[in-house]
Amino acid sequence: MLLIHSLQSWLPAAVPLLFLLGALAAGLPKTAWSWRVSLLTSAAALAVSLEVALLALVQPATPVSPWLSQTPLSLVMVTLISFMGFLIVRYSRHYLHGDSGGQRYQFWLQFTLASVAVVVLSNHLLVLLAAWVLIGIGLHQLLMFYPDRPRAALAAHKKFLLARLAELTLLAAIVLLYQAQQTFWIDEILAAYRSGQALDGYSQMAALLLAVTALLKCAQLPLHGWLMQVMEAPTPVSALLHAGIINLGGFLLILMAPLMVQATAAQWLLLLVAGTTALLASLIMMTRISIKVMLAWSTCAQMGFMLVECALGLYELALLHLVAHSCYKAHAFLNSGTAVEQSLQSRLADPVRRAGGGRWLLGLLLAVALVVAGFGSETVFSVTGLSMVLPLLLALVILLSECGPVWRVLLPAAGLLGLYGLQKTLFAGLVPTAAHGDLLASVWVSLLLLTLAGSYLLLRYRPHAPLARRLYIHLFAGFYLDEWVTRLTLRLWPARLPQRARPVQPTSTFTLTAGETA
Amino acid sequence: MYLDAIDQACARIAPTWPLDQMIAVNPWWELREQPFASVSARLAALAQVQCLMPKEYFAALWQQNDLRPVHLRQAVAEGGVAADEAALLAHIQQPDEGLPHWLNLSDWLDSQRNLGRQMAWKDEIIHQISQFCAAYFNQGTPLSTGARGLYASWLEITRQDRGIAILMGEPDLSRQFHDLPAQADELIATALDELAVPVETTADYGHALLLDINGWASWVAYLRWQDRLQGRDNRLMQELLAIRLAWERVLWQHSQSLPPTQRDKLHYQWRQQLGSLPALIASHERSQQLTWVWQRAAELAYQQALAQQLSQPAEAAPASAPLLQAAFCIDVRSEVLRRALEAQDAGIQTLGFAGFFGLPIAYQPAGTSFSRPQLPGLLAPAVQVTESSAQIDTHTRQARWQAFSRAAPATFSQVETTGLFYAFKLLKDSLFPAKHTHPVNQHGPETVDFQLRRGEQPLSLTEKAALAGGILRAMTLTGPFAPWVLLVGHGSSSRNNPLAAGLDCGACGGQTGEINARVLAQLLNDPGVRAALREQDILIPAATCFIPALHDTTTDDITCFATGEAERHLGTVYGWLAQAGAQARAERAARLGLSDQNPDRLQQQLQQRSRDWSQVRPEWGLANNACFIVAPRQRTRHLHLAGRSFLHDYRWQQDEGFNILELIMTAPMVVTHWINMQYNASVTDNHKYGCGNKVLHNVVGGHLGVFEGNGGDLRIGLPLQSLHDGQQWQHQPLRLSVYIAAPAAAIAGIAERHEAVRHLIDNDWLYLFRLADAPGLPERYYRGQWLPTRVGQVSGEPA
Repeated sequence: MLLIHSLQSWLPAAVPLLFLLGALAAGLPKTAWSWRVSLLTSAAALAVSLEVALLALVQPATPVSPWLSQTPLSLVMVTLISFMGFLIVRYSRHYLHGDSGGQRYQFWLQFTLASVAVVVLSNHLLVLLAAWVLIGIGLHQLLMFYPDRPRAALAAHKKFLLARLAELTLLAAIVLLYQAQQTFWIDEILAAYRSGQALDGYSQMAALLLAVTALLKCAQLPLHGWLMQVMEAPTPVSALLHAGIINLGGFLLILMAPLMVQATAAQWLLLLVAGTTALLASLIMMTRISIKVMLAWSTCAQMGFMLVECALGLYELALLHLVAHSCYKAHAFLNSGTAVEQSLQSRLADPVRRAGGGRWLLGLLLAVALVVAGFGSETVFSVTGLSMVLPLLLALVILLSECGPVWRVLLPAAGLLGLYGLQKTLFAGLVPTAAHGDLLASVWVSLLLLTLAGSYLLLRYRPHAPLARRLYIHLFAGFYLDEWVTRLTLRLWPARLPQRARPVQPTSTFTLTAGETA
Repeated sequence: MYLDAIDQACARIAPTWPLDQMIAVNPWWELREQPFASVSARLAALAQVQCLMPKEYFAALWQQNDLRPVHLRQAVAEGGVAADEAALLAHIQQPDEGLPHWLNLSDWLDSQRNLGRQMAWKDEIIHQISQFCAAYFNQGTPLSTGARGLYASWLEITRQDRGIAILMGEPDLSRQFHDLPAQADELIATALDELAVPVETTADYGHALLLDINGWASWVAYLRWQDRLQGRDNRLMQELLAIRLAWERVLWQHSQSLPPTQRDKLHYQWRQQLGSLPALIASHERSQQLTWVWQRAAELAYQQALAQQLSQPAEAAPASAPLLQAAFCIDVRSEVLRRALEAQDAGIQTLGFAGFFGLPIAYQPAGTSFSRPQLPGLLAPAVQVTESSAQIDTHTRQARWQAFSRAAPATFSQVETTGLFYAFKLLKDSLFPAKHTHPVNQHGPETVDFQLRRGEQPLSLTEKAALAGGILRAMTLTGPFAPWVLLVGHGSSSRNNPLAAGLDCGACGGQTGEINARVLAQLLNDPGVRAALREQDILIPAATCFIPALHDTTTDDITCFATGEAERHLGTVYGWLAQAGAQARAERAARLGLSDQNPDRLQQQLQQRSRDWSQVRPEWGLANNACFIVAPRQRTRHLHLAGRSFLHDYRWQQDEGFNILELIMTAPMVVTHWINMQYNASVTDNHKYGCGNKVLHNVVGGHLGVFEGNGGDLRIGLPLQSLHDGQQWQHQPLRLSVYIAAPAAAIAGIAERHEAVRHLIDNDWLYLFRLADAPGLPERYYRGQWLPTRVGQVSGEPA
């Protein structure tokens, strides 16, 4: 009985262990065998995490080892990771078939998955940090899967430096948290901050460093470049990165919510950096010409938005965003080969008629009416409420004005509103909201969103106006942010870039006879 | 003078088609006026392009005994090279020498840069031009809709772009871009003048520059090709070259600010190089000479085995009228299935004919402005085919959703409202994938009526009958007719595959042959057309029914589009088709690594494969194609050609004035040569002419092409996964051997009349043989002479 109890209390730990087992199976002599084992172990990992989540739902009082976290956040995250892990392993089996580095890939993929699972399950900060470092190591191996590609090397090099920086800031944050609370146990730290005592200097500093860690992990401007450039790794690696790793910045902030809600400086850091990133990256996304790079910019923008939600204390929305975005982006990457058929579809569709002013007005009125009906007029017509509903409002306006005759899109628009409300409520049950309704923050966020809408309209409806063309060119160039970073990186800490198939050239002087005698 | 040279350089690039119409092209098509070996040496000297397999490849062939001394001796004799077996063996055992080659100015500068700390110029230039071209040629960006030309737009963007100067750490670059002339022609003149490029080197220098951005140059060549089919022309290629040359000029100006010793060295090297190009090319030609002997020997080994097969006496034509006739595409994948189908009953007759079935059509789903050609890329469509049952509403809905989810202000809420549903899509696409449906190929039911128009006018009965009669005669299908005549087009089925069109029917413009087969059957079943055909002496019995069908080359399933009435009587035919499919699957399975002996399970596995969104090798396509046989099927019916042969039915006795032969030698022969060379080039130089690793593919502009990874040049040709199974190549690069059963004078006459055909034969781009009516070894036509095949020595050779 005691044994069963202790086994049960360690059950969640089976998830990383199973992934690790799959990683070790990469060493089997036949790749077909090792993939079969990996499929089994990753399916088992998914089953275990589902079971743990269900158990927690049915029997919330199930005892659990102190080393493991069993908060709704951890359970949601571990289910997400094992779901993605299972699908990505299954996808990779055929996708990487015949690749000479298949075994290496298989090992590092599952090694990384195991590390992510440890991060989201850990209740001890030092274990979390250690696993966080391991993710960096595993991901680096995956991003450098084709080591002879110079751009892969450059991107991975930048990523490598930034990951080390994020580890340092996380380490510093952990040390400061220990200074403040004299413990490494996460639940104890959170309980201490929940009690409502004012933050001391250590805690303020720690919150700031956690925000920096999240910004670094989420590839926010101007340190975003590597994210766009890691298309030099196989597609499932992109799916893993975008669905399971990059959002750990958001996870960290949601985890530390009791501390973060009280740390105004950290919130403002997030609002400024992530807010600007969300605005610029979503506009830049529209100028990208290749599918994967477009998806990467989209991730950058979405992560920015998620961090802004964290800063506003809307943790339930942030978690919803994290999970929903993972599913959406994983699918988008794995399915990115259908881009050709999607472009055929848009050429087969009825040509888009540009909406006139009347349509936009009608769309705006209807969207406002829908949102008011959904949230109540007090929420919508207050400054703090507006910043919260504004993203949805903008989406509805675009749907109602641009995407077809009103009578056809009214129902889908109402459906989106309903879905939004439903999921928000659901996730609020998992992670309580901590909206603080800071006026200045709301104004800032609203301004960003309105600027976004304005720029979108300008680019779409007046593409040849000089202002639009200039804006387009700067967006197209990504505001040169990455160029500065790349150059700085190469200067401060030169990468060892692999040589391209090196032009063969004479060493000292080139003479006519050199060509003749060779 | 120099402008002519620039035009010459621009004329050397062959087109690449967009992904949704991906057809095979010989990347050296525009260089066919020179012997292949010279082209190879020139390309190697200019840009390290490989037209030949590496030496280890031939060493392995030798080891495996696929190549024997006799082949080498004969290749030596043909090549007029003074080398014995020992010298040849020594040649392939030496490592490649790494000859010097031409360096563009950017390459010279790169050789002085510290590439660990600084970005290489070459990479940055390719990346910058490539990103710009993608935006320019992509519909719907502010760049593409501008009235400004290619060069002018590039100049505008580049002058405002601070990024390059920052990235390269060269602040004076911006000024250099401002100093560039506003017109492309002016830029070319200035740059060539400043770089002191002599007129005789200009064309090659221009060519070397274009080869740096070969992918986009090929795209521009496609736009030129399309314009020329319409009788127009454009100068986009010159503008693209101007852009690349502008970079050289910028770097030349920039190099003035280098430290004097470095600058002087650079300028000295540049001047030296300009004068040494002919010597450089000659050195490459010499170093490749013996490798060409090996290549030729490998081809001889294949040709001699085939010649012995072909010299066996043909089967006698069956006396009785056939039970079933089935016309297939000439595609090499049809050969396997045809052999399997014929094995079901002696009364089954199959025919080979280019899969667009002679219909010069473009298909337009009704209610859309979308139109796509369904014929070889060499030709322009003359007839529009529409049908009324296209599902525009679904497409519109899905396209609007795509647009919505990509509108910047909507993306955040789109994720929060619908993102979770993608969890279900992920599960469904992974575990329960549906059969793949292509958006354009969701045609109406069997009963649907296709409307044919020429311009705005519907096709008249006379026009239809003329079209139908021409097709039947070209197919040698003029009677007696079986009660069932299948017209079998082909298509592949794969999901999530940007290069899917490359596996479809090349003769149908990279589409499935369904529309063409169905339109032709509709024509031939039309009583009015049949009545008119009677006047052309083609008597189709009332009991004969033409049935369109589609061969799925991925699963070897055959779908017939028979209407209710006909379908009831088709039981036996369906049985044969199912058996033939199973036999073909069993033959192909081994190469795909499937070994299940149970036919049903094998069929299931192949169907799963075709639905698997993570499958990068749905089928081997036309890999390992090697020959094209133009003859009555009796000549080959008894032979196992291993899926390496294009087969075209042809009876010279029925071809008055050899018009059909002329057509075959100028169209299908060129198409098969393009396919063959696309495969060869993708194997010998996958970096330049293939599109690399599929797991890194990144679709550009919806359908323009793919990048391998983040950026770089647009990639053309075939991916490694279509050519290599991880252990070995699945395509052996052999130049196409064409065998035609027709009188010598007719073949020679056509070759002399058509310059392109003559170039292909005489410049070693393909081999042309003649099959005489009496059994015997084929004769080869080469540079105006008929040469005997010498197989006798082979059989006397100890193995």
